[in-house]
Amino acid sequence: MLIEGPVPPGTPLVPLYTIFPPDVVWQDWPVFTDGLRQVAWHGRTVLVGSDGRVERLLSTDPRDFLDPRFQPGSRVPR
Amino acid sequence: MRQVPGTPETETHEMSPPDKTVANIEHVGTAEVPGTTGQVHCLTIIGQVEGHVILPSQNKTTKYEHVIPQLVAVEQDPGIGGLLVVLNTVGGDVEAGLAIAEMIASLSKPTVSLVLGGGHSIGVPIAVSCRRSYIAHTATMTIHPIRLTGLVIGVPQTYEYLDKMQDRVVRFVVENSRISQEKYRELMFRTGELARDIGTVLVGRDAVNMGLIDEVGGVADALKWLNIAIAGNEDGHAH
Repeated sequence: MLIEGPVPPGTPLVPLYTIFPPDVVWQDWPVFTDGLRQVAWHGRTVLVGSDGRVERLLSTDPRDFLDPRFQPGSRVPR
Repeated sequence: MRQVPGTPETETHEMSPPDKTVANIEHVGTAEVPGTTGQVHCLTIIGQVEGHVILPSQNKTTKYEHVIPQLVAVEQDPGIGGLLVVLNTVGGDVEAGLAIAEMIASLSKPTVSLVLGGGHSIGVPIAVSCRRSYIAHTATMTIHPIRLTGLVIGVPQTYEYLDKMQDRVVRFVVENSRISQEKYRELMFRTGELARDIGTVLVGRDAVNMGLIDEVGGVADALKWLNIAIAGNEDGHAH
C-alpha cells in the first residue's frame, strides 16, 4: 500500500503483493520458531507449534499432503 | 475431504466416533461434516499466501510448501479427476503465488477456480491459472502495483528488479485470461479508485467484463463445469 505505518526494524525484504498494509502484516515480527516440536504422527513427522497444531509436515510423499490430518492447523494430541 | 488411498492408519492415534464428533464441532461447528464423493479435489487459498518467510501469527496463511506437493499429488493420483480452487485471499508472496499459479496452469487435469469474498493482488494470477474461472457476485479483485518493504537500496537497479517482478505477474495474467496487457496495466495504475493506493477494485461482473474471469457464478456452476470436463466433454474454456 502506498501510505504505510512503521514496519518493525529488520523486516525482511520480501516482495509481498497484498492489499494489506505492511505494518499490519509485519506487526510482531520477528516470528520465533524455537517453540516448534517434532512429533511422530500417524507414521509421519510433523512440526507442531506451542498451540498443539500442525505447523508443517515433513514428508516427500505428495499423497501425505492431501491428508487432512497433516494439514497446517490440524490438532495433534499431546 | 477425500480419504487418501494408501495412507497407513495407526490405530492408537485414530479418533473414536465420539472424539471425531467433538473435533468436528470444535473445528467446523457441526457434528457431521459432509464428505465429497467423486473425483474432485478442493484446494482453498485463504488469507496471505505465505512463501519464503514465516509471517507473524496474526496473519491467516496458505503455506506454499503444503500446496505445491498437494498439486503434485492431484496430478499423480488416478482417483482425482479434477481440481476446484476456492479463493478468498488478500494476496501475499509474489514468488509463492506465481509458483502455485504455474503449477495449476500446467496440470493435465481439468481445473476450475471460484473467487469468493476476495481474490486480490497475487490471488489474481492464481484465479486465472485454472482452465475455467468463476467469481461470486459480491466477490472483489484488487489490481494494484507490487511494492517492496524492508530495507530498500535506493539505486536504479531496485526499480528494475521491481519492474521485472511486476512484469512476471502481468505476463502470467495476460497469457491465462482474456484481458490485454494494456488494459491490465491501465487497471493497475489507475488513480482515484482506492483511498490508500493506486489501482482498481473489480466487483463480480466487472472482473468478467474486463476479461479477467470467465463467468459470474457459485459453487454449483464451478462443480458443474468441472464434472462435465472430468467426464471428457471439456469444451468452451477460455484459453
